[in-house]
Amino acid sequence: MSRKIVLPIKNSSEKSMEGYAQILHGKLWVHYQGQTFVSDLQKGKDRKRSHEGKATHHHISAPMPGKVTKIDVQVGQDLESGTAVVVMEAMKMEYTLKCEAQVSVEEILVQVGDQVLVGQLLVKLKPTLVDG
Amino acid sequence: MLKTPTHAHKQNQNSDQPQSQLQKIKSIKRLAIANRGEVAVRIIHACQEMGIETVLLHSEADVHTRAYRMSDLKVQVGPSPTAESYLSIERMIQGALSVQADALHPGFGFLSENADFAEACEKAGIIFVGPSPQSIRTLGDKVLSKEIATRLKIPLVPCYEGELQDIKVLVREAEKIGFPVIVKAAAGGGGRGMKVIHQPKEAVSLIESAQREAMAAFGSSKVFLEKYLDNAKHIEFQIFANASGQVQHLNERECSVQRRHQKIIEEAPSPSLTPALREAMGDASVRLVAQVGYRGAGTVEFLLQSGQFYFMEMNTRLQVEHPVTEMVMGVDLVKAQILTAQGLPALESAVNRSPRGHSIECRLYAENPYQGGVPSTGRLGMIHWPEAFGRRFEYGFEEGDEVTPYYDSMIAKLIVWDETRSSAIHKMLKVLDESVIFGVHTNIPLLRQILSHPEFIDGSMTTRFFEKNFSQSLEAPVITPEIQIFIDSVRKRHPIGSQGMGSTSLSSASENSSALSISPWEGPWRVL
Repeated sequence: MSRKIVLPIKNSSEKSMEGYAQILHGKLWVHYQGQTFVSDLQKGKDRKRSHEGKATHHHISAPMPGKVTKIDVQVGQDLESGTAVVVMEAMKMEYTLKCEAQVSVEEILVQVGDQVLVGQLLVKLKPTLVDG
Repeated sequence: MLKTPTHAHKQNQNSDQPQSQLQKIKSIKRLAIANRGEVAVRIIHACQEMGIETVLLHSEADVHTRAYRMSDLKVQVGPSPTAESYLSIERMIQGALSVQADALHPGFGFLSENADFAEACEKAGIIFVGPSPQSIRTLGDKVLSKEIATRLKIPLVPCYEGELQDIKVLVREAEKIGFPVIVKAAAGGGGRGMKVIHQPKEAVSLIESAQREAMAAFGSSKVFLEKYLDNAKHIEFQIFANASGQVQHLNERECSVQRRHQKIIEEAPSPSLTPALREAMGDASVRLVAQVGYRGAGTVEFLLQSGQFYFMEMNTRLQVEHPVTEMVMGVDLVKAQILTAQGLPALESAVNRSPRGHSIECRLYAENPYQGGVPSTGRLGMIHWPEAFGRRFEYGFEEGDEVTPYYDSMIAKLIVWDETRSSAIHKMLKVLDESVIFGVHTNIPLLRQILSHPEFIDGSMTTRFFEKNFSQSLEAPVITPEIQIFIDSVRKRHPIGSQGMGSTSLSSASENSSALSISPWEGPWRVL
């Protein structure tokens, strides 16, 4: 059941191009010369896998499945950029999710102890207007 | 050249362990494994060679794993969360009793250093493959082991290990020790619940965070504080006490490549020890262990800075990185543990043996190195291990298995052996290049960069090495024209649509993968 692939194209070292490829969940995984690449077949363009949940200006979502262990903020609170908003635990390690801009907390959608899925929205934020 | 001193010692006759109990021969026919992943597989392999039946005591999440398929019997002890499965003494004992197991191996992590568990096994008439509950309570306890070390004049790092756990007390004690200070779980190991406090203003939040992690991982929020040596190497000695009470050490391992106190790369021997240091540290390890009537495998951990060594702690169990010792010392520590638990002789021919060649272990974590090491979960696709002489692959998952978020993200260990350190590094880089894992991201790109770093190559790395050089996410790899040609060729010829590839349903993963492997690749393609 090997997925080894040999192309009859010579590479820079005059060898046939050899690698491995497999499709999993609509994504193409390719291993070539010690590196692994993933591309999304639906989107039709090469991209890294999208487990990118993180703090943006407008929300904080879970970067991985896990448990919420601490929520450091309250609705309406103004936060400096870099403030810890939510602490999560996954695979027995703690991850602190911080906000990346000056924001205020609009809504908190989870509670301490909740199991959350990857990409799940945890806290809604809105930009704080700062007087010039 | 390495010259190993005579390092076998008869144990203290005043020990609290009755000698008669050590020497009684108790045959093991069926052994239960209270663990999972690659260590469960390692134990099953040892048992298969010894003609012992195995019982895997597993959680609901671990049915689709290699250990499950390999074990003779399986008992599902509870649901996925560790508190109700791998950390439940009651359920583990019940599981072992339900199939009349006569022994239990705890592996590492989970209940492996829990004296109550070892005691519960004894009470239930099950041989615990490990030291006695008394040994775990003394040497496995960070406070008591240091008291013994102090008595033996083994140097220690300044610390606070008091009962008072109020945050104000802890902060004051941290200030007394002087920053940087490390805070760690009293009941812990393996880096969980450990944080380094560099400045006074971080103290409160980091201590609280460590307390929460300690509570989650070990069920106790108690923490200790310790002076953080900022330029130290992590050196540990493998010790082994056989059934007749003789303690020997099997030389050292160096595990200085750590991230948040979680080891990533280990090796034996250490490139940092002089023969005199090796002798002094080995001797200290054996003297410490010989105090308590120890039995089986254990590890004495030290920090080494500016030629001075400090006793850190003792782990009263098998270590994750035990294979590098096995490779250079020519021993099988798991079989030796099981022989010792039966009261049989073990490792007799290894006494005073010198290490041979060099061995390196890389821990393979399911994580995305381009996103700060965030854990990566999911169903595994193709896995290929490039087998050859001097390469050893310890893994708990195979194609089609699911990496779940419930447990540690270590999915495999890659171990190499070669004649010299530089040829072992070279071999490991080759292994990393040729290992293929699809379905989850792995830290292979990170491991490759670490092994290629000048400080690793010259052996000067300290426990700060990772933080200093790899605290940022790796840059995503540049897609060279050659790589682009390969990817494009694969994509272009891939029959999207006709194979139902539009589906993203999780359950169709295996169908998808076999569809690709048997699909009639056309044009200039060959599928091997």
